[in-house]
Amino acid sequence: MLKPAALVLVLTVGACLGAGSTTSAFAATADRCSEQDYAEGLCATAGVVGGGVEIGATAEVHGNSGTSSENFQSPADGAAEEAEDESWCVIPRVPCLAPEPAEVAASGPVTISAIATFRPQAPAAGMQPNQWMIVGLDTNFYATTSAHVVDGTLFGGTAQVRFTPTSYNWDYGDGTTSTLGTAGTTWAKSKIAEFDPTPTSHVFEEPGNYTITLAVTYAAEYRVAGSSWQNVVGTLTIVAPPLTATAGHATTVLVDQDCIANPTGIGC
Amino acid sequence: MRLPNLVRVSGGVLLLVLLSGCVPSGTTPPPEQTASFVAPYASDEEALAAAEEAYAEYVRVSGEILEQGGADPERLETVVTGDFLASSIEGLREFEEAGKRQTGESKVGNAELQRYSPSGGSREIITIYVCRNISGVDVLDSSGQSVVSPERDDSSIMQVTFDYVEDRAALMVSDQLLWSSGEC
Repeated sequence: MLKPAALVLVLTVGACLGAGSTTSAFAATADRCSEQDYAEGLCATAGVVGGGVEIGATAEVHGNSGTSSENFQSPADGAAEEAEDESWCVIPRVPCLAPEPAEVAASGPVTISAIATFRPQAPAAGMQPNQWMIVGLDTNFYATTSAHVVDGTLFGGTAQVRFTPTSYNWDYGDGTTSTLGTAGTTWAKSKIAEFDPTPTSHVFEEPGNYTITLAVTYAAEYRVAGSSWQNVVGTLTIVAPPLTATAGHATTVLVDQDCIANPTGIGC
Repeated sequence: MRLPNLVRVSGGVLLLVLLSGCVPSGTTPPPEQTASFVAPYASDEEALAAAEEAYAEYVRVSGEILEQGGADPERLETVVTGDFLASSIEGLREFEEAGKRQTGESKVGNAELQRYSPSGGSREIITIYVCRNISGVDVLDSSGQSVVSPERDDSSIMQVTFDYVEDRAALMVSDQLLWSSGEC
């Protein structure tokens, strides 16, 4: 069995090798894409797909057997762990492992690839007052999400995607929407009085039941094995669980006593 | 099922290379602030147009070299600069040694400006996204067999970064990354 410690060792060694004699054993890296690698389909990709970010890497390994492609899998899939320890690189031998040119010419290339999918944490929507609104007064809405990093594994190594919220799209359920650049926060944290307007508040004009939906758009960056962050093309929009709330009228009256304790009191 | 040792061992080499950033990586030195540098493009539109032109030339020259089996890879010096030039030439030498040859035409589609930084110096002055289609492109080994990966997509978006090379008064490719695959 290949032990995780062995793999870590191999990775560390890789960092000190130049692009010298080992380069003929592979043809792609997780970042740059030359025209010849592109033509052969050996470039790694990173982009937004569906509900997450997919980071993929593909590379070519020269083997002796034309059938080995069916059996070779990346360690991430577990199959290569069946390989015996001695088949893996030992530090001093690494530079010698590149196949001889004659062998390369005589054998077919084997392409291996792996894709890791990363999904951001779901955002949540909050509102004040909770689940009710007063017609004509500001209701404060806010999103609870922030920039965060999601970890994953690609070819047995660490790959990370950092999601940064860039815009907040509110559908207030009353026919109005707004796209905001700020998440907003509670009245208390803004140090303002209740029902004061905030950059993220909204006024409902009619009583009724409303479903309020928040969608947060994230930008993403990725990095592989501790390299610097690289942008991922596109953005990702995630919808938070909707809020349901009732808007009603509120009337202010002067009363003599607590109307609950004395419902027949003056003003009640 | 046991694999030939070489395959397994090569896998190890591949892994460490992929994960360790063994090859010159994207960590380009920060742009140089040169007091005398004046950005050559007045607007984003001009910058994009110049980048598209430079990229078309890059694809043309690269295609010419690849169709000739990687011969005289130094021809890239007119269109590529920096670390990317060195790694591209090295890759082309290996391409030639392996007896490979490219056939077919590589198409460049619409481009979109990601960034034009007129005040940041001559390095990484422009980055664009550009649509590519290589459905007509094949790469053959010395025996005429295709070596194209079955995973390759016909169409994809590239992110391409350019340096402005003052000596040549030209925009040249300094980095290229494959982003999303699929129609564009």
